[in-house]
Amino acid sequence: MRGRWAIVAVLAMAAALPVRAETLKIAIPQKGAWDTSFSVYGDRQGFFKEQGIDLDITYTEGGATTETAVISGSVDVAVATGTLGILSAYTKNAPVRIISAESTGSADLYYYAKAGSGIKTLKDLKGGKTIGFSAPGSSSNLALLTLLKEQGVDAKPVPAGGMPPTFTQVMSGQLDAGWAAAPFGVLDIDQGKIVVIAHANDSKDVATETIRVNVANLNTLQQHRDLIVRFMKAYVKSYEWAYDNPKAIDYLAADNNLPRAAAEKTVKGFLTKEANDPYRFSGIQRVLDEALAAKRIPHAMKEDDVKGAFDIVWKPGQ
Amino acid sequence: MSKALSISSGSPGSNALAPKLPPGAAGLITLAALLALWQAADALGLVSPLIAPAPSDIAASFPALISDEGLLQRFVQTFFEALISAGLAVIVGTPIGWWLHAKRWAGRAYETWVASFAAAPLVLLYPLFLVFFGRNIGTIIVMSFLTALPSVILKTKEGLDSVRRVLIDVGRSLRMPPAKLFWKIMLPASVPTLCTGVRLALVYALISVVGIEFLINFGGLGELIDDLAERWEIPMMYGAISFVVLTSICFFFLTERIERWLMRG
Amino acid sequence: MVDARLAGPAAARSWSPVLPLRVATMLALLVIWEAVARSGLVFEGVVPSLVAIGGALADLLTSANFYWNLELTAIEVAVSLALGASAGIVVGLVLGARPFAGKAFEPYVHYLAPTPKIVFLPILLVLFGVGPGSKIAMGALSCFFPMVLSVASGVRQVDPVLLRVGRSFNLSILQTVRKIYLPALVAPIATGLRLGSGVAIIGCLLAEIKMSNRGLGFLVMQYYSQFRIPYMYAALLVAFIIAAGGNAVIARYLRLPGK
Repeated sequence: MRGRWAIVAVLAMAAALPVRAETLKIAIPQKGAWDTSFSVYGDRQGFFKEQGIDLDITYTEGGATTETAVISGSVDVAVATGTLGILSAYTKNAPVRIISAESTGSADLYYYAKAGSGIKTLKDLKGGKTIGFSAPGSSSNLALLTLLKEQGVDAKPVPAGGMPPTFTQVMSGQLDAGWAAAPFGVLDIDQGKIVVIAHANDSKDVATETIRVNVANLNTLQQHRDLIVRFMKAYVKSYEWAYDNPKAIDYLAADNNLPRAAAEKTVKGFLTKEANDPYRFSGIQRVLDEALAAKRIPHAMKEDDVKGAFDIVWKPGQ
Repeated sequence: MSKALSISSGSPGSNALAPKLPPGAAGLITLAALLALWQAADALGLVSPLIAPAPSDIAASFPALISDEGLLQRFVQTFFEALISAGLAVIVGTPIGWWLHAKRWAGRAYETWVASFAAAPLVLLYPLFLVFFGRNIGTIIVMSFLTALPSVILKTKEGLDSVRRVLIDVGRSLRMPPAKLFWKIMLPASVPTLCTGVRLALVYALISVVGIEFLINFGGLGELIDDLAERWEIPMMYGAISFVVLTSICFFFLTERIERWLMRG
Repeated sequence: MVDARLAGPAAARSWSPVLPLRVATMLALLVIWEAVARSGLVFEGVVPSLVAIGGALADLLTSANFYWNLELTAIEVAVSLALGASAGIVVGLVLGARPFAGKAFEPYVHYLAPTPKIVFLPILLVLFGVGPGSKIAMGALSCFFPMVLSVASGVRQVDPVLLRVGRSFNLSILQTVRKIYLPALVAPIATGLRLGSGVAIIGCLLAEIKMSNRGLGFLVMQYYSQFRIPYMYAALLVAFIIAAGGNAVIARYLRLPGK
């Protein structure tokens, strides 16, 4: 008799123990950027712990490194990776799946020139003036090419690297103009050191293209699908919270050493909730066309051809 | 060269296989066997093609590499960047090495600095060089020149230092003026070591050029490999990598031959 | 040129110009740097004043975060050296002691040695991922080659008399290695370690630059991307001192007497 109660007691104690959180390895590019930081903010608010998830964050420089991290299985989930890169990798049987959208349009991306240089708009770059983008195939590259084509400007795009080296090159005169993504440069704009000459979203095509997505490693999806579902629940909650709660702007300011006013201007002036809607996919065909032009996919493809790349594990209301 | 005995307990200097197979062939056969194993592993699905595609796929990627990716133009670019950097290192480094040899106090003061400089991870400075010289060939050449410089300096000094006393004494006894002593005796006597210095300069220059091309994505073979990796064109990436290995082998082989020819003459 | 050794003990004890020369050169370089920094010739961020660098260095050396990053790089280098060097010693022994194997395979090692190892980095990154594994793999790959070549050549120079003595005592292979080869290989192994440690450090740092989330190379890239250039220089200075210093330490303490 006593034995049976002992077993019940042990089981009761085990049930009462807090559920041990599962670790989820996540790669986050562009540390400190607003939209890549939703998971970070949500983690600080405990949304992921609520779902029994322990986030193990690796920050990457962006672009290919984030892709390599998730494709190699080094991380389970990568946020804010380029749609173009992921779809191209998918066509080569890379073990990744898109679990949600991350950015439609490039609301934070802009191009600038040094104040006093005489360059105030994109058209002032005509005649082969140089303008820097980050790396071939990146959103700063593709958006730039679209803008130049739409406005008929014969400027010379140059791969300049990340935002800080681009900034140095523009300020020291090695480049006539450069790229940046808010909140970088917001203070300098305020202080009149640089002038915005174009926004990526000036082009309607760019503004309606889902250029960044969140992805998961296929093995993790197959073996721990529930973990990814719970991740998405917490992610969506984090995204909603960031746009609704002013505390998120405090985080943005603190993480980037910015005065709060500049952080606020970034969020209100550059970014929008609709742009980061995790369930908004559009312009995928355009992404595929760009991939073909960049030789990233072997032949022309339609959206249908890549629908296997998408695995939306969870949607609100499910 | 002393003949070392094999540690097998067989008869001295013999090998069970020696009568049957020349060693060169054995090496090639082993290489072929490894490639066959690799091909099989891929065919059986044991290895992911994203990590190690089948050798046959890699070989098949070469035509596209040459026609679409400009493999040969990139090779020329990388090769000449390395050559120019090494050449500059020889031009600048030889007089410095001579100076360290000729002025005792300079040699004693600075030789260890040069040796330490050789071990320094100069490549870490590339972002700063990028900003100084811009995203162009200047950065690559300057950095590779600096990487190759220490070998030339040290080998020049070593070569001149180690000229046998007896040769110098002969020259002095013939009342040679110092300049003639240098050109007729010291320089020829140090040619082998100087050649090693030139060869090392080429090697270090090539390593540096490919490395920086890889890191800053600027033309040449280094960028090609990084680019193909980012595009997940794995068979072509392996193709490019093996081409770099081949280039390095040819480079090295050629410079060794030239060195041997110079030493004979 | 007067050879100091021939001049007698009195001359040898006299004032040596080495130290003052080095100090003077160092000071001159520092002055030039500071002049460039303050001249406004170069865009301000890129050549910061020595004061700024000094301040950043002090900050760095007193921050736990710095040591946390340094620790990982140190571990990566140590492990890659251990792996690469031991593999190099074993392979070097085989290639040196068995002439057939040597003639068959050593040319491949010889010609692969000067190949830029960075080309293998993409493969290693996919294989081993973002963590220390890929850095260790890169470092081990880099330091394997100098060790093999050094040991193989050292093995070939082992006195044949010693080997004959060993055979006459019927020593097993393991005993031959332990009692005859290894003691004779101290110098080549030391040379291999010296060369290897340099390239292992560079290999690990390169891999960190390309993709990492912790380590000295990671710190350097982070400061660069945040445009905190004085801190970047400070971290670079530490990296350089470790690389050059390590090399000098091994050179001095592993030098055999009489060489």
